[in-house]
Amino acid sequence: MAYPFKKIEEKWQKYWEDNKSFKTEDKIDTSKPKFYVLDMFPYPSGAGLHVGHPEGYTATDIIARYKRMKGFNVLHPMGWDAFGLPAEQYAIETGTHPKITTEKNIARFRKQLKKLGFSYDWDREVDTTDPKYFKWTQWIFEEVINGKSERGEHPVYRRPLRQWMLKITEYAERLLDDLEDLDWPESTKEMQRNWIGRSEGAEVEFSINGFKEEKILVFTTRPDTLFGATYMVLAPEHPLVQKVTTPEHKDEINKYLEAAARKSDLERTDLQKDKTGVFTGGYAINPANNKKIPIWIADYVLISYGTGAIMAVPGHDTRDYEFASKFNIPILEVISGGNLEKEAFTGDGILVNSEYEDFSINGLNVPEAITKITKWLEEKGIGKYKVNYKLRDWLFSRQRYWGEPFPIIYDENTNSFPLDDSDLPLELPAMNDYRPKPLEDPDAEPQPPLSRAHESWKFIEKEGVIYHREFNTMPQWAGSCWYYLRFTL
Amino acid sequence: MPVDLYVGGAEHSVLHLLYARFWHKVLYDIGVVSTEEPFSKLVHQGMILGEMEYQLYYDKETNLPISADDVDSNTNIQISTGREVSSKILIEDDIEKFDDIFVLKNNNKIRIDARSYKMSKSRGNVINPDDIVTNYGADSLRLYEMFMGPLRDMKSWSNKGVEGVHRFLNRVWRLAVDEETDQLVSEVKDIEPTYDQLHILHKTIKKVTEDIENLQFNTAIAAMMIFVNEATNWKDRPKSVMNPFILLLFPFAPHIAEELWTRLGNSGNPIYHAWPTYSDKYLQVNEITWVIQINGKIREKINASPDIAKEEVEKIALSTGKIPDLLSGKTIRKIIVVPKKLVNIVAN
Repeated sequence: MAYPFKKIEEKWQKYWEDNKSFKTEDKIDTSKPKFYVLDMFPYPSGAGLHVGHPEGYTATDIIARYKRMKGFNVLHPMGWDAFGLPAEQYAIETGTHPKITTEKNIARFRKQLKKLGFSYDWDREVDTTDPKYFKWTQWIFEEVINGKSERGEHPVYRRPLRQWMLKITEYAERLLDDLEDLDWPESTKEMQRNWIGRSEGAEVEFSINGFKEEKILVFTTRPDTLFGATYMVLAPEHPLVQKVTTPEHKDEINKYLEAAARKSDLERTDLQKDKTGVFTGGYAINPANNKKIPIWIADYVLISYGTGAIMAVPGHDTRDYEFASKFNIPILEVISGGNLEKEAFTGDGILVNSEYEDFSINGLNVPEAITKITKWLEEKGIGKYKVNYKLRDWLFSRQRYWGEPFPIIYDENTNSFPLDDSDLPLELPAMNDYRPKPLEDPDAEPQPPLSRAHESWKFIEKEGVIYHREFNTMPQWAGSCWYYLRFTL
Repeated sequence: MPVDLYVGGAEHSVLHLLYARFWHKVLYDIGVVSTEEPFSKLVHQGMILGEMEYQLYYDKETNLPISADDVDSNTNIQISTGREVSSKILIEDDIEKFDDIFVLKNNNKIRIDARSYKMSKSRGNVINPDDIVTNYGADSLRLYEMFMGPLRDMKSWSNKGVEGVHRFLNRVWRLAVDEETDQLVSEVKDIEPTYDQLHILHKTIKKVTEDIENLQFNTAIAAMMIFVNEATNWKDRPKSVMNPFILLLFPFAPHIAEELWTRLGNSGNPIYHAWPTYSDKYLQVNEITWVIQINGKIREKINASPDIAKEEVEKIALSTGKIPDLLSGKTIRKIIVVPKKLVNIVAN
């Protein structure tokens, strides 16, 4: 016979709830040490809890109860990461407002968690879709854009959008360096490092044949191979493309630009894929030896990485080798030790064919050559040591309904202004149709669902001036970026 | 105030962690938060896979079983013949386990392909936590998920494992409660504990405390199981030993612990009760006399701990006093260890 677990569990769950046994008071005895133990809060899906949820939750619950018994002030809260696509998709299919679906799912999750006896302080429960919560998401956004972001052209050629980008790249170095002291799994730290993707090298200026002012700036991790640069490649979106293209190449270039705009970054940089590219007719000058080298465009170069242009060294870079072989561009050996008849040589070796006038790095190994030529570039004022990051700025706009509205208004000249704190939260308007607005013209700016909101929401008058609101919404990350702070406020 | 311990899955957290750290740093720069980083310590729980599935390969024509050693499981081709084989799913009763190897019960030469898969609707191996709570209780689900293996490891679900943990909680219950009368059992008394009882209690407190600090919940539970095995045999179960044990159990299985705490006549709730502490003086073990026999005849006596490991007491026995001499020229066939009593060396 089993012990009467059902009776016991119901009895104590009711007792804990009635007595608010796990409440963390705002006014605490500060002489005691504190312990904040937190679960990654769940997305309340329609499927309810799965067995993976209670695994982490039980672990933190054991710690929370143990620490309380050890005399700590414990904070152990729970909440819901509740914006997101599934509820919006369901709304589009059925017309049910996402808020209703979300509330239903949250109610089920909450009930399931309570049946497991977790010692959460339910008085501190948060829901990212609650206006009382996203008031602060909007407030933080305003703080973040205060000098920390720009509203600019997002480099998607096909859809020239004006979207919010957050300048996370300005924090790349700190995000990398500060991982060091964290007590985190090494594999997770490594994933963060890879995502940030720091690399050291040099930024080098190439002048363009026939132009005085414009320079093509490249970042390379291998400045030692500069003498081996036999061509350059611009990303299709590079601002100088039209300028360097000669009239007889215009048609071909424009055709290529159109095709590239239809591909995703992933498709473009797939290593397996056949390299494509077109010669612009223009030439750059290799600053190491003053030789004219052809300028191509190719979609394997992304405008969002580095400077959006590369110096191509087919002798010592696998992708450049493939490209040069295909288009019969000269392949020059500047580091000995490989067999360039067969493949690019990317290893260390002794520099050759790398001297011009009174400057030479011949006879050095790769690290020595990097140091020497970087110094030379700096002295000549045509380059400098540079750290580059793979991390991109964060595209923060979504053409969706079920997200936080931006606390931003625009005047008729599309100048943007943040809402006053007293106007927060800005809530979502009621809608009948949650779909993005269908458009006849595929090249026009896409119209987010909020562009169809009632006029009374879309427009706002302040001191006699009519402004319109931002129609994009924030990504789901916005609410989950800071919820751990909400519990402590 | 930063999070001291942050727990969640590894799969989807790369960007969440990066973006949260970014906003935190912006907020730090404008003076809203006081630390550079939001999450001091991060732990990822391991994924829970479905029940182990046992696949037997057999020849399409002869229907004879084929060992998994001879089959390329990606292609279902028999390595020795190059022929395609068929397979079927077996139930656990048809299978025997040797270490990490699963074989057919009626033919140990045939190895079975045993694997767990990610839970999915299409595979039909999804476990619904609500069902476990209904059939075994929340405490059983909690305890089982912590007992499955190290928190950070990937683990396979096992309904037998859930039943095992549920039986353990039943044993805990019966340590204190008479199922017939629903009253405290007569063994539970206000009585002075013996040294042995204090020894096992304090050993358990030490182990559970250290394991919780290191998030090694599975071994903490194993230590509590050992305690319960011992305590089940006690004629007298002093309340002063039972109470601290209930407090140890409380973070893991809080409902049953609250109930037993109350039934043992304690006031208040365990939640803010002080965590039990151990004393080194009870961790020391009084040595006992072990008898060493060769072929059943007493040859030596030694003093050693009653809890000494089997291998350890064998080693001591073989090297003590006149034993090496008596064994010289003989082949040791077997060494039998009777816990807390004797070592019998069978040799000829």
